[in-house]
Amino acid sequence: MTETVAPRWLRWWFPQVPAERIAMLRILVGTYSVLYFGVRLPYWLSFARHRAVQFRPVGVLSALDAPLDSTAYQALVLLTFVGSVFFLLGFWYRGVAPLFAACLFVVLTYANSWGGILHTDNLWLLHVVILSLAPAADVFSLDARRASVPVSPHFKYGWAIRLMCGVCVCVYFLAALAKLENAGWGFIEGASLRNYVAIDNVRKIELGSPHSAFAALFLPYPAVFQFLAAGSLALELGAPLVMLNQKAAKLWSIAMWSFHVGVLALMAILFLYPVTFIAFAPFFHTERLAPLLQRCLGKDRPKKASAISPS
Amino acid sequence: MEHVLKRLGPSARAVRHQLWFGASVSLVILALVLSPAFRDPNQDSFPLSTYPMFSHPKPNPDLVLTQVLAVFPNGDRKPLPPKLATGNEEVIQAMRMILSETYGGDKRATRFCHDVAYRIERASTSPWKDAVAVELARSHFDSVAYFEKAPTPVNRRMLQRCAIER
Repeated sequence: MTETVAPRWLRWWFPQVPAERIAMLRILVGTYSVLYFGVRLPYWLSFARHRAVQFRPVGVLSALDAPLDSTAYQALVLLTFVGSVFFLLGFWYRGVAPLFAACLFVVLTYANSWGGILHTDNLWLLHVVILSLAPAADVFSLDARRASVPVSPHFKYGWAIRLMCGVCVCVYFLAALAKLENAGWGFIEGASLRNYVAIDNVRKIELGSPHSAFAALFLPYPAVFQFLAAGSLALELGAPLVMLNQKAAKLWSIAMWSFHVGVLALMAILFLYPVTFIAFAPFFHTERLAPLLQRCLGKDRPKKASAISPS
Repeated sequence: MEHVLKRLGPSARAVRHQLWFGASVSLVILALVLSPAFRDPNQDSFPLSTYPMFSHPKPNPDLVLTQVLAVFPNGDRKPLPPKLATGNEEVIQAMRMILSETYGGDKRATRFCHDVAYRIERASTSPWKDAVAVELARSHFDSVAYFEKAPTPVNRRMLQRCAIER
């Protein structure tokens, strides 16, 4: 698909981008997956020991009337972890990446099937699913080492990155819609947000969980919460618009990241995926991180770099 | 799209395949992710969520909370961490579990209380190793006053109590 013949909308959704960009996204999301899933292995495995009476299946598991067999579930968790390593390394990518995404899908859905749906892992899972369906291991991967086929910028790398950006703005837009449907425009007055911050922190303290050290400092100032409520709603509601402008998208990403840091500071709620900034990486030219990756791997000389990058 | 492909020559088939695949995956995923917008915002699921957290109007800072408390010999009470109370380290999921166990009937609440007591019996860390009983309690807090005045409940009602045997 050349720049001259394709319609504008097609070129927009299928931009020609270097393979290194989507490969770096795979490495970023893969590193997050290996570390986050690996560190929390005891947490994921713990759902095998929960009592059946607490089981409240959601999503694709809704049809289940009893928890999964505990041994089978534990095996699935371990398989998911192994899959995350293969995903990161880009090893047998075309087969293993979709399998890893499917396993992660089931494990995360299962973990959310015990009475409380969390919203911290949705975007990570969606990004894994998208990357698993895209050619994200054509460079910087073990597969690329074996194939050693020259790789040039191509639209087949572009749509997946565009889609990762698209689902990112969609989830924030949905959060804005929920606020408007449930609380209306009155949300921007900030009173509800202030009460939420106070309630959430008391709830955490009284349930023996870590809480924010800063909330008490800001609660006497309602104007702060008015600003935060209006700002966060504007960012969420305007999210889809940033798809149209790259510079706006980058500024929006930084603003959303600041929003999550604010949520962490005021409510001790850690949305780790956005806080690491990996959630917003698709809005940036991630291939610029390649020299850093090569330095980390001790392959900073051009000749050696070509060993992992056939381009 | 067809006229574009015709002008691409021999690679048209591969290009067509890649375009259709990319477009289909994009449309399906975007439609699925946006689909919760067309259902009740309070009907949440995973991973296709309506993201309803903190979206309801909250006109006052009242909080009614069902807690699991450890009771110490001097009468002090301390809330148990989620992992010790329920076996689940996620506070929101632990809170829902405490609710369903406490209000799922007397038999279930008593069993839950004894399960917690058993977990504390085996705990060797301070201060839990000194606890003498477990209480399930329903507490009412004024959350703003909690920070601005005193961190105590407006009122608290004990629902279940069971001793810790060592």
